[in-house]
Amino acid sequence: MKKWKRVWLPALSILLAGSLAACGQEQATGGSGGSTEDEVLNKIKETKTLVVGTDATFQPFEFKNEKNEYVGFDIDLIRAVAEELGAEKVEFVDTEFKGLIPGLQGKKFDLIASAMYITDERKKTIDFSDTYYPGGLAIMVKKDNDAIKGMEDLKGKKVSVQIGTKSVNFLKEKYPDVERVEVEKNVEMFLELESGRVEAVVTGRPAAKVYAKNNGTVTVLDEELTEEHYGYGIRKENKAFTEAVNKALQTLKENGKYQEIVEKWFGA
Amino acid sequence: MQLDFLVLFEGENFSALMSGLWVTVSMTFMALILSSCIGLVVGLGRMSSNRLFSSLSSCYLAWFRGTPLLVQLMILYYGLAIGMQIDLSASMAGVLGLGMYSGSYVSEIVRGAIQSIDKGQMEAGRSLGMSHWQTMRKVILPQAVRRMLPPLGNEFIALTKNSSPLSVITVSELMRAGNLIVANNFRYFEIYLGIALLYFLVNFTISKVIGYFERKMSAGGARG
Repeated sequence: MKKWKRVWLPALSILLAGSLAACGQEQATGGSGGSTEDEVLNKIKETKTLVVGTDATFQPFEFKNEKNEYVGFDIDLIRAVAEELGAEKVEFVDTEFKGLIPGLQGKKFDLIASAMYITDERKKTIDFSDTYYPGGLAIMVKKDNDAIKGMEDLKGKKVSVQIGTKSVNFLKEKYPDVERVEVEKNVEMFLELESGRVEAVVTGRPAAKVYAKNNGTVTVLDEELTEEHYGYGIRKENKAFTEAVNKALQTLKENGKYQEIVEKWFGA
Repeated sequence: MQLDFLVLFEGENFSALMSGLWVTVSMTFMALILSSCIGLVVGLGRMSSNRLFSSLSSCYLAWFRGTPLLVQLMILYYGLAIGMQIDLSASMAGVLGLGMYSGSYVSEIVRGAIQSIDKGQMEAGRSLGMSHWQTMRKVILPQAVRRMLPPLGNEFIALTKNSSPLSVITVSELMRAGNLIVANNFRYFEIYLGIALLYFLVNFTISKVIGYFERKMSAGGARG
């Protein structure tokens, strides 16, 4: 029917305009293929920019301060890595955590730096750099407590854990003879320790480190209770880029810059 | 806990919220235009005697009303980029996604309003020598628009509030801007109350604008 054409045409043109705009953009961003070298490395060479996906709502790894700037451990470290890679600028793309892996695959950014654990599940879809920081659970004790060197010394002693966290199940399953004191909040856990009601606290290492740094009377033991490591997410096809990131991390560890950033955010 | 609403104005917090508000308002506004166009086309399509057009419209409605907005946004922004190398920008995907989603609801509003107009109106128009489309445009639609306004107001307000999934596709809209601030200073109550107020202001304005058009149109119409 002819008369419907008047309705059809505008509708079609809207859709067409949309898809055309889309194509135009693709050419603009993804135009650097063709050479034998890694696509991302080529792009960095050309634009001097590394585009990083992050969920900036996780202190102290990545968050935005009152000045609306990206700050945190991951932010500082990836800036240093980018410098090693020859990128003068780091562009952050802020998105919710569940958007990070699809965003990486969809080439919305070159790399994920967002306190992401390296897991076998995630490894099926993306690659990871070498770990740049150990996560997992750790033991926190008072600084003057020399009796406790590790998990074995906690048998029969009181240990504070936060309700509903990984620490609870970890102790239940592996160390049932440790007496658990389950509290509601992070802060209460630390208060229990400081007031001497418990011998130790079992919690996530990074959070414990931050508290130890701010507080000064407690310390975090080196023993790793569970092995979990943070790594940068990278697309599977960018093997050469992954290599380059690993090399950059290595360099930063050797020249002391890495240690500097760790101390800035987590204390010594 | 001590409440301190001044944190809303600390540093760049307020301007961050304002830019989030701007993103929300501008994107929903563009989506709203797209959704009205789609709604009109699909709504008319559902009533069309052209089998192809009407079944296409039915499919459109079934698909976009039958799947969650978040899923559609993920497909548009990430899915197309991964599966077909179609790299939409975040704002393009956002406007398209919101517009197409809301368009399916608007199409039913359009259809309902048109079908509520007495059959005799079309018969009268046709007997005056006007074509089907002419009658539709000059007689039926103007009357139907009046009946569309209240549910359209509902739909547009819902659209503004439903724009928060856009944060998953890297659009920093109002809710996301608020979450970023909360992640820094942990002032949940103050920040979220501030955001609620901003959403309220926007939606109150929309309802006032729709109300204005309703009054204007009923003044011109025969039946109030």
